[in-house]
Amino acid sequence: MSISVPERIWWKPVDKSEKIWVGLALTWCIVMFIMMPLWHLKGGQNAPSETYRVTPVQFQKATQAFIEKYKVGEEKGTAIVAPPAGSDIYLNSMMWRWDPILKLEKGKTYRLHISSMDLQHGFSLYPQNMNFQVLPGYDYVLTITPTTSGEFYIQCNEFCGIGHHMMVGKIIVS
Amino acid sequence: MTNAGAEFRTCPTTGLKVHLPAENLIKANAVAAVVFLLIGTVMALLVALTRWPAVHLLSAEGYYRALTAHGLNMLIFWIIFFEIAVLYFASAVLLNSRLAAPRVGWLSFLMMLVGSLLVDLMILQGKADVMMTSYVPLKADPLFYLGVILFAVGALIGVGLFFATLVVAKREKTYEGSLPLVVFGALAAGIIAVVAIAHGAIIYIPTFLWSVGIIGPIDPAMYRVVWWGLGHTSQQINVTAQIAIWYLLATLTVGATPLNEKVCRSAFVLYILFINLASAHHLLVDPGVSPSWKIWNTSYAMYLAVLASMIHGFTVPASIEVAQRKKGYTKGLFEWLKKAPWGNPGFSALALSIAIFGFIGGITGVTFGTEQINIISHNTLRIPGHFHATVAAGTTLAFMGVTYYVLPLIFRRQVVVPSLAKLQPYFFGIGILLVSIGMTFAGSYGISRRHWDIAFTGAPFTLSFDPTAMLMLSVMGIGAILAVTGALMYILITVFTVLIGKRPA
Amino acid sequence: MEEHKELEPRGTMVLALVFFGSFILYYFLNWKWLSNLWYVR
Repeated sequence: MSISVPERIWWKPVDKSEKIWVGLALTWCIVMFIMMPLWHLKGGQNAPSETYRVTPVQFQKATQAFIEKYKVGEEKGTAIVAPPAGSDIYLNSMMWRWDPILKLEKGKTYRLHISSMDLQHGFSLYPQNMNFQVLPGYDYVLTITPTTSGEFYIQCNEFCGIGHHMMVGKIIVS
Repeated sequence: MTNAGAEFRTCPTTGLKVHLPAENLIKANAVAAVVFLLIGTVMALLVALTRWPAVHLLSAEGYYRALTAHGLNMLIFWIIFFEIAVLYFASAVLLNSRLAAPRVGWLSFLMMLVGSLLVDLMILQGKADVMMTSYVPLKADPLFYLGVILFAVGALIGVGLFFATLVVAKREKTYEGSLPLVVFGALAAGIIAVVAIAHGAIIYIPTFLWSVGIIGPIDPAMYRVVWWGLGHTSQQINVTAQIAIWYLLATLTVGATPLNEKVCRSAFVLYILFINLASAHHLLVDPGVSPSWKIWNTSYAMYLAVLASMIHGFTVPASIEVAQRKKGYTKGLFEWLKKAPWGNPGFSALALSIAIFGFIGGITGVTFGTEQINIISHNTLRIPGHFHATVAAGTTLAFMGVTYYVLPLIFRRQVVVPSLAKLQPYFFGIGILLVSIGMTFAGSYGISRRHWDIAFTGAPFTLSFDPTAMLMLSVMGIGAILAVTGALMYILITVFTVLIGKRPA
Repeated sequence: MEEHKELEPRGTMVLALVFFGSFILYYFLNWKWLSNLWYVR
């Protein structure tokens, strides 16, 4: 009984069925463990770790300079920016917008810097469903290569106040 | 503490010696748990009806407020009050011992009660629309943090009293030999609780000081690392307590005996050693953490805690099967299962708890906790889809099941309207199952959690989700109505049993 | 112990294997979904 004291010596050999199951489970755990480093070597999608400390003021400045340099238009009050392939690109987040709209080329690699001016935000790319945390004070560098073209949207997926649901940005890939 | 006021009664059903001051504390904590479950359930309905696009009930403000209240009342107040009751039951009642210091128990209860009421008051006044996680620099009223701290310290005192009672029982020789398995499991839960609450103190005390302006800003990344030491570890208290209850219910419902004590106990030890590291899987797509740190920690030191859950998920049903086979249900593979007492709410709650926890909660959780796969699940509805299967179907349903034994044994009342009680676990279990499935699949289409309006009213751009995702949100909504019905049935049954249930002869 | 065979938890083993199968399926299905995404590192 599980509610009464066990017999004096309870350290006993394990039954066959339990042995089989524990063996299977352990093997599976090892497989799952190996998958993660393996994907770093062979897979194309790994959560980045490159991060720098940055103040909101510094990041705002960097974003502003980036926008001025590569601005090609405007949509709904937000600048559209077409940076050259392989460059460092900036996406700023604040209550409750993403700035600017990025125009990228399919198959080209970019170093996407993301940070926040105020609260924590969430970068959630739709319809790709790729999600990253955005923290104020941290410049998080995602080295991305768009592999599909079209219009993509960034919804904020970390609660950031009453206007959270309005925080939608855009990336255009051609 | 002297033993002067100690009084005991002998339970006519189990023959256990019940310490009356312990019994009163168990009652108080259980009653408080059910009251907070009621608040959480009302909030659950409001939240679900808002996220069901066809209804979209609340305003944005109301939604985030209700969601904050739902999280804290369910995940913290209901579950931890109940767990404290379980700890007192496992130590004093199951070991035939006196509770070490009942007055300390009342101090703990009072602190938890004041703390939780303070938190709820702040939330309902709109002074803490910060979600359960209250990620800095989002700021709530200082009294909100103070309430959390009071509750946590109160709970820590309760856990300390549990440890002290184990020592008293050992010293006063109220039992001979090793602890019963259920008590051993409760002990594991208690140890994990200390780790969780210590993290809570480390993060909430500076956050409180920041909110009153005594210290400067709290680093958001540091906050997340330490907060999840509380946030996730406290879910491991739930898992561990829930599994202790599985073993308890298996014994109470079909007379099961653990197949091999060594295996079961080793699995509990794996929880203590490895499960705390699991909190790293909340930070897999955060800036600033290295791949090796993430891989090592989320693999729970090579998934050894997952291994423990897989072991319990096997040994509990296996012990039930063997007990049933001993009764003569040996035909084929599944006669033991068919002839199980499905009309006993204790058993149906146990069976649904194991099945949904394992098949939905376990599989989704371990998958999303993989470093790279987290990219396609972080902060989407897949996450609440996972933890409703673990914490609502797993822990809450197990607690509901054991309540049907606590009522006659501790409150000494016969359960009122047994026909309703018979159906209750099915309503709740199947409801939560639909909620979890709906959320998990809706999240796979990119619908995010903690989001008021997927029509994006007022946003510069709108994105339209796949119709399947919308269908899945309706599945969630229907499931939520079923689950809320099940929870209200549970609350009504327990309240009326305690108030007007017949006293057993 | 003579009727040991009768008492073995064979049904649970079958259920556990069904669980194991679903686990493997869902786990690798997620890797498949992941592999369709943009490259990121």
